[in-house]
Amino acid sequence: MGAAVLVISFGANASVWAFDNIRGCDIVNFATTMVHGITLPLDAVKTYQERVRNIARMPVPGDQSFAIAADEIMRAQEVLLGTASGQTRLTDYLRSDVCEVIVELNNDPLDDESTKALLTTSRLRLQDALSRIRFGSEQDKTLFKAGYNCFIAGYLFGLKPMRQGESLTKFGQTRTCKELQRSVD
Amino acid sequence: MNRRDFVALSAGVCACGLIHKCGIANAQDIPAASRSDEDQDREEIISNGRRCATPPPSLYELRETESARQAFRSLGLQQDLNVPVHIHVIQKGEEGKVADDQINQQMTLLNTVFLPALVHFNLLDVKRHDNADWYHVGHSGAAERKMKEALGKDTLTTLNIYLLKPRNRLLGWATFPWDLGARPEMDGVVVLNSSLPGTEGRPFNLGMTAVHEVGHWLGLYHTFQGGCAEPGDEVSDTPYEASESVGCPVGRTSCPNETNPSAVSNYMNYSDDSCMSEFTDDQCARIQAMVGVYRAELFDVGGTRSLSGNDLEEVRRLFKP
Repeated sequence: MGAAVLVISFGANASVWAFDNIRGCDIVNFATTMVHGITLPLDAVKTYQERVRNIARMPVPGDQSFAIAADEIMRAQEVLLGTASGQTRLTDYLRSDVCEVIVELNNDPLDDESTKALLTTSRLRLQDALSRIRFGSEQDKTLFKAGYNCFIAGYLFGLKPMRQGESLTKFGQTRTCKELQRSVD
Repeated sequence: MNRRDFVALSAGVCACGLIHKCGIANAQDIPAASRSDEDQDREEIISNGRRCATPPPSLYELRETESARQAFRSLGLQQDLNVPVHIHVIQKGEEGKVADDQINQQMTLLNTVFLPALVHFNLLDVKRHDNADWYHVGHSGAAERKMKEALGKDTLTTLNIYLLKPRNRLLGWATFPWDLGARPEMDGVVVLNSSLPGTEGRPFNLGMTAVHEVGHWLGLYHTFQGGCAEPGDEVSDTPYEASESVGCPVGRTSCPNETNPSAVSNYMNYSDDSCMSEFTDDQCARIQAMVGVYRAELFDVGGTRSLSGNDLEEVRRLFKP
């Protein structure tokens, strides 16, 4: 039923082929650490987590519904980030050591089929993207991969609550935004 | 080195005589212990009939590829391919306004470099579009799809090149020929506008990004595809390479069992533009095979087709599942 509702609500606009949202890492950073005065309201975090769990409860998706699910997750991530206070300090955050992204995801065992399928698809799509893109530097390639990893980290954060003080390293190996010259876009 | 010298160097023919590494392409031929997680994921998806993720070619497609190449060779088919080209220049106001002269230099370079593969490009038109949303499209995002749906023309029979400034500092990307069936509207190549000859984007401003991406569009992989493991880039005369070459590390070797130096100067590597100067013979053969399989309509364009319909049918028959 959940899947059918999603198709009706988002099918016409499903457009995401790349599972790519570097700001997924910001969600984890903002939710677990006080960074440059940027915070996420608790009720917005709860709403986000409920939304993500609903998506995870969908049956293992097929091709088109992968795009729909990714689209839905990305929208949820955007909505949550839109509620963050102190956004004007984003530039300071990007330049700080607090801003980190995931360069390599952990290979954690997952018990939920939907999440497993989504992760597999994300990994395959990243490999597919890497096989057709020309990068100007290793740094640019790493930053691009981080976009996929952070999308997943933001999704996993939605599924399982994190304790205050936990960090992105729970999901994988990180590097600072400064080091990778991540920009505002 | 001046421009004329550079183009002359780039005209360098398909190199040959390296090593042979291709041939194993069936899942059962690859020892389980040497298979990567990615291979196993791929097999799982294929065996379950779930092709949803569209990974880089499935093992079935790898078989298909090698069969196609052998089929073309056995039939002795080497055809002139005439590729009509639409260029879409995306601008944000005055930003991204690529000069006609730079576009013409790029076309000259494409025609020079792909000559050994018998591929000829014919510029049909250059259209300019002022659109801030499309100016910074990211790879495979919603903006790219909207842009291509709005601007792409005749994707079955023409090459669409989009010149813009991609998100995430990417130099460019392309669709592969085998993407055409499932997503024809996405077909084409996206190229950083400051990578064209005569622009400022050093060390990637000699036009090799468009060459590299058109290579993908015609079915070539990066020379370092698959790292040190079979089937690598599915081309037998490019040495295995663990990872991309950066700069111009001539003589580099990166795989323990690979004695030949990496294809540093190959257009399908990541070396600096000034370092790139060749396609190999088998890359040229692969282009012919890939076009025959997935873009056969190109043989019909331009009135110079010499491959008969029966020959094409024969090639297709040879690798039917």
